[in-house]
Amino acid sequence: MKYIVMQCCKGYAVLMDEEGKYVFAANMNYETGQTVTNPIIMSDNHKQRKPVITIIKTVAAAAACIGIISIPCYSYYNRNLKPCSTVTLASDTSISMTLNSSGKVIGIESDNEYGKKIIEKVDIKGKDNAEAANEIVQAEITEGYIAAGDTVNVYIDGNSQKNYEDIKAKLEKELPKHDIKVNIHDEKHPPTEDNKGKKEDKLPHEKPVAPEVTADVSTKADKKPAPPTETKPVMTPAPPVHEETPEHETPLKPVETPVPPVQTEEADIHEKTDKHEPPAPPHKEKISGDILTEPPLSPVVNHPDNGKPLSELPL
Amino acid sequence: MDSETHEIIARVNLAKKEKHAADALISDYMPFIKSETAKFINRPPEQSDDELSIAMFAFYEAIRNYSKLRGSFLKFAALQIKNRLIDYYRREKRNTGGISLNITDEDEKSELIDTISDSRDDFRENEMREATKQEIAELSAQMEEFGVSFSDIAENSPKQRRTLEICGKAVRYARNNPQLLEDFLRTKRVPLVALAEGADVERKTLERHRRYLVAMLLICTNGYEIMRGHIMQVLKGGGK
Repeated sequence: MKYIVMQCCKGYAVLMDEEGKYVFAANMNYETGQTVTNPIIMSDNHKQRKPVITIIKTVAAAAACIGIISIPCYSYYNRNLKPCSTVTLASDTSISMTLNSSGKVIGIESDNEYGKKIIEKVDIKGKDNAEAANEIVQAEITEGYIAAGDTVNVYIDGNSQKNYEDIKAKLEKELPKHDIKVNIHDEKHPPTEDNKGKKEDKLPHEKPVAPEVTADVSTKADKKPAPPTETKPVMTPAPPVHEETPEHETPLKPVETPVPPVQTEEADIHEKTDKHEPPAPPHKEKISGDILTEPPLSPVVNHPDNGKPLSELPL
Repeated sequence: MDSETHEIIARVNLAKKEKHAADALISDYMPFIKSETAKFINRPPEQSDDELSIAMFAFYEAIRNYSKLRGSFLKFAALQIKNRLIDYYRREKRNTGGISLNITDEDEKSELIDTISDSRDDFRENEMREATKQEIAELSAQMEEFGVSFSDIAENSPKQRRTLEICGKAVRYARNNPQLLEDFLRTKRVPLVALAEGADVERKTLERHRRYLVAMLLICTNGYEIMRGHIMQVLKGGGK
């Protein structure tokens, strides 16, 4: 583009281009009226920036930098350092291992002195959970805390069912190599009613609870009849199943209950009807089916004779 | 020391507003400008050196762009000079690979420039330059009546293409309506309302570039044929 030199000053010249735009340019020994090409023009980006915009840009840049740094850090923390699950080997030495999301040991602790001794002897940080459990069990066997054929309870507290299953599969594969029995339990998802008794039975240092409930019910039934709402515990809680108990016997079956509470209530009801007292309001759920065979009387609402005077009613 | 600093800053602030003050400041600090140039080219600059011209221009830029937030003025000016000279050398580097016209031949009897036939007509060119110079002087004198200078126009000139096109549209409308130009010369006021309505452009945009419009409308009046020829694409509406 061609420029006409319109004005020459000490440090600059004013030029006019073919589009009619006036610009400041370096005065390279120009003369007024000269036509020049390719001058050195004063650029617009040398203008002073507004402080507010500068501050906003600085803050935005800082935020972006923090974001760029923190996202990988957070990701690394989540993957490697964040505790994800806990595996507890419950023998005489109760040792707990904290695992990260990839199943590596990031922490190990124990409540008792035996456990602390074992922890001092093994170096399992950063190792896979199965390998670490293997080492612990090996150390316990060496120290004599457990022997071949003993049972070791393992409690897994995983952050998800999948995590639990993964750890369980690994441990079930690795630990039996030491000729010990391994019982693995999920701490987060306790067993259902069906296997609760079994689990309790396997827990060490726990004694079976004596069956007290049935005896209480029988005495109460003799002395004072329970209200219908309290007759529900006909299904008395089953006593814990002993190891000798054969499997075909269902623990929920009320064995040798002296007086079933239902019978007590029926007798009570018969006594009340003999005395011609108004019957108790029927309760469908809580009273036995024999009493509820006939529905309670209720006024006929839509009878054709409703509203007629007494004289017109048929005798 | 403080009084000197305050004096420079006061002079810089004055030079931002007045052209003569800027020229005086550049003249007074010529040794500083030369020393900064010498640091870069590793020799004392001569008056005809392009580097010195660029350093003076960078000093003028520093005057225009300086604020207290930028720290010491002389340090800021030195940085501006250095940056401008680096830019200049980078630009020149792109053109390396060409042969200088002043290279002598093997016999060292003649330079390359002497062997090239010159198709330019120097006499005609000088004549044209003189005519242009005269037109510019006339325009400058006429602009003074309106209270504007070329420096003002350069500062007030549209920077964005869209604004430039709006102003060009208004100028074309004025050129097609000689009555408007006559009124402009008579009243010495830019007919902003008529231009905005006639050219169907925003009045606010024209108001912002009033001084620029003064120069362009004056060029559209009689007597500035060379300049009108230079900006013909604006007047015909053939801009990019």
